[in-house]
Amino acid sequence: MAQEEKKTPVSCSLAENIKGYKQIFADCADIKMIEMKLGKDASVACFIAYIEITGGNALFEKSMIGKLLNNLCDCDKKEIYVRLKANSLGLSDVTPFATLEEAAYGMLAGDTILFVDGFDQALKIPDKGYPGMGISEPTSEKAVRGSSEGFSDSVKVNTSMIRKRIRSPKVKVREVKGGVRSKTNIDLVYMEGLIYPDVLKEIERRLDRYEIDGILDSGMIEQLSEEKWYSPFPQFQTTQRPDRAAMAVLEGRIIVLCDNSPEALILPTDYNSFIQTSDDYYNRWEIASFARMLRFIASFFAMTLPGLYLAVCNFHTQILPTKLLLSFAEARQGVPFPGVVEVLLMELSFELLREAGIRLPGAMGNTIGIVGGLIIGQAAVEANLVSPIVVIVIAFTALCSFAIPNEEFATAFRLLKFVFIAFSAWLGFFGFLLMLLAVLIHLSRLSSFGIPYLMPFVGADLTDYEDERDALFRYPTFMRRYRPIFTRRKERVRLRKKDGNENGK
Amino acid sequence: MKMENKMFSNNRKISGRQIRRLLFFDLAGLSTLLLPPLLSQTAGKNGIFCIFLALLPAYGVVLLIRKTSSRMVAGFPDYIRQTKGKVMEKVLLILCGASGIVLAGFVLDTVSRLITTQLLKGESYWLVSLLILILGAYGMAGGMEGRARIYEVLFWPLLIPLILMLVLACRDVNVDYWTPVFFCSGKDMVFGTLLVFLFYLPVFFLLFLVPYEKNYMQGIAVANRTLFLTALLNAAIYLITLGIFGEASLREMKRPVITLMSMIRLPGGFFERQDAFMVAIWFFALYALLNSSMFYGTESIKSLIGKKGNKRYVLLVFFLTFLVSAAFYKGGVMEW
Repeated sequence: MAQEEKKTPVSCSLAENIKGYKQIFADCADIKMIEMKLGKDASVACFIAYIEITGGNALFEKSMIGKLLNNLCDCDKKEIYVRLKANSLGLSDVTPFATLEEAAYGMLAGDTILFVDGFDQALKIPDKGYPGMGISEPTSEKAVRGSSEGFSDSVKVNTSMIRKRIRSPKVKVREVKGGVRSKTNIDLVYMEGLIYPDVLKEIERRLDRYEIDGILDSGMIEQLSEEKWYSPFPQFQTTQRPDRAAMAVLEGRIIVLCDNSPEALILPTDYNSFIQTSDDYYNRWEIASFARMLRFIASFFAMTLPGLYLAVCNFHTQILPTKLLLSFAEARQGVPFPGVVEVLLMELSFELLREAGIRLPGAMGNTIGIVGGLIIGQAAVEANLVSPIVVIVIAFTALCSFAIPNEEFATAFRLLKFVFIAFSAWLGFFGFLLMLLAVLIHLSRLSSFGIPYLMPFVGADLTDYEDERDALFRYPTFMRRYRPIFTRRKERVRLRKKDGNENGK
Repeated sequence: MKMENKMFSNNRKISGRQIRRLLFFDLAGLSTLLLPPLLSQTAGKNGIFCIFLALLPAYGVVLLIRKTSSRMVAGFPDYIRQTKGKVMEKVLLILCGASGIVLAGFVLDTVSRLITTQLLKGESYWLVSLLILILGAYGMAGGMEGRARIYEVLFWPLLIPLILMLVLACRDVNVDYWTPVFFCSGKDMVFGTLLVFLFYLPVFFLLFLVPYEKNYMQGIAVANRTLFLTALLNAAIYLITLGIFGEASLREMKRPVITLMSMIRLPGGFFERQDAFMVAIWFFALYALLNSSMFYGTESIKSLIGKKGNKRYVLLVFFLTFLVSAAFYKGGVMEW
């Protein structure tokens, strides 16, 4: 894959350049190549190349290349070269290329390439670029309060959306290319002075660790850069919200933006960050704390509830009061399957409905929810395939899983739920405890770029327990004076009273 | 990952809070489960005094640890080698390794019996102990920091329900069962005190923690407080079990604290019996001690053999612990 690419220098002879360029883009019907003449007496031949969709329709009237060509049409032959060399038209982002291959990659980035006879460089002239989806509301991470903007497919638009929120020259954007063939733009956005330089070096090292033919989404970067690949828990946080990303930048974290992906990656991260939402910080602290506690509890039950139900009903019925136990038994009367089959049947049906709902077109996807909830659930109960209590347990588990704000994080609980079901069905409450401990051991060993995954529930002393003010409870904003552990040690103060009462740390 | 070693909290150091919580479960798990009937058999109603008297020799051990730690540069095995010579180092390391493994085997036997009698009646003892041991090895592979983090997280989720249940149990305590006191021989008192002291001995593990502490005095201060906290919890459990079951019944019971949990009625009536849930507390607490003793056993053997690598030592301790546990099971040590 890492074959050494041929480099053909741009020649002074336009014919040679055209030949070489056409060779590179042989059988590419979408690439438009136009030959024309420049100068007062039309004595200088030139050649422009662009991808059909990226060149403007009003090419010669309004676009930058149009203006340039019109201008050059009024010049003498000598003056043309002078103007091209000096970029005297003051066009922004005009990039000269010395080889045909570089020019080709420049064009593939969505701009127009100009070759002029007798000029030994190809010029990249910015144009309309690739069509993007534009800025729209994020499809996940809906917030009651706060911006409705979501990241788009264009990395440049996404970078500017973060910059729009933090207008500081200390916000740096480092660009790297990913994918040997796709040459995808990957931007690392961070706040200079707040990040640990080692983290930046580390993510750059990890991005450079593999050679891959194409990077088509940030998810591919995530999977290639994770240290503990076997863990179901994500070691990068993802977001579609620019305000969330901007908040992370202010916390000394690094954002990885990938072209053609509306999902930004945030690093480092921890369990607590996955439970937080952006409107936690826009709403009052009481309701934000309440919602957060609910989410923590939801994350626990999303993983454990069906297993717990099986353990209690199959092994430790003495826990339940007699009346409740009798009502459970009554509900199960006539059901031919053992409890575990019932639970698995419902869980798998639910997962199928979910998968079908995602894949189906919008309106039909909504219908699937109604079909699943009303028809299949009710029909299954009436046909005595499952008991109503199991339907309630599965529905409650699903609700808990939906309450987890981050989809990737929720997926870990959804998967682990099945392991809990298996162990609880096999060994009852002991199996449940074994799994709980195993998950806890795993989480205690997991880290994201050096940050323990269980921060700030572990190691909170490192920040003088300040991080605990934004964990299970979200303290009032004026009490959260320090940035979290992700920030460099000496830059932790983020809020200070203007009268000078605050000494800072 | 090299980067992680120099960044953030992955610095191979553990905080005072982590030491306190880990040590608390090491000390409290086994003692709260087994002490009440043992104390009742030896010192009877005076057992409560034994619990506090045993603090004296325990604090003596902490004092010794303090003196040793102050001279320690690179850990306990290294310290012995430098001060006592190679032969003494080998002898002490064999003793430490053996006591770690024997304790691990005993704890494994205790927790396996607890599970097979309280949660999974009729299930194979061997299967249960093997599964717990696998989890023990997995936890141990996470190193000191990983172990400390588990118990830092679990501390309040385990302690709050326990305290709540003990408070609820106080309603049924008959204080007449606590008296009369001072009606037992000095010999019984000494025997009772020594018995309690045995359960406080895991504080000795503190010696192995010195390289992981920010400074040794932090560990010493934490150990002193934790010992007192453990004594308080043991005293509370002893008084409650004695006040509910009476001395004569307490002597005959195997795990009175679990029986106690099954008797407590929660307000609201959603749960009829919560002993299954409460077993979880001792399962986690005993797992902490199992994990600690396996860890210190491994550390000793590693220093003794001196070859690098971790997996082979973990495997060796795994098998030795299983063998010791099997010996306890076959010997019926817990079936008093």
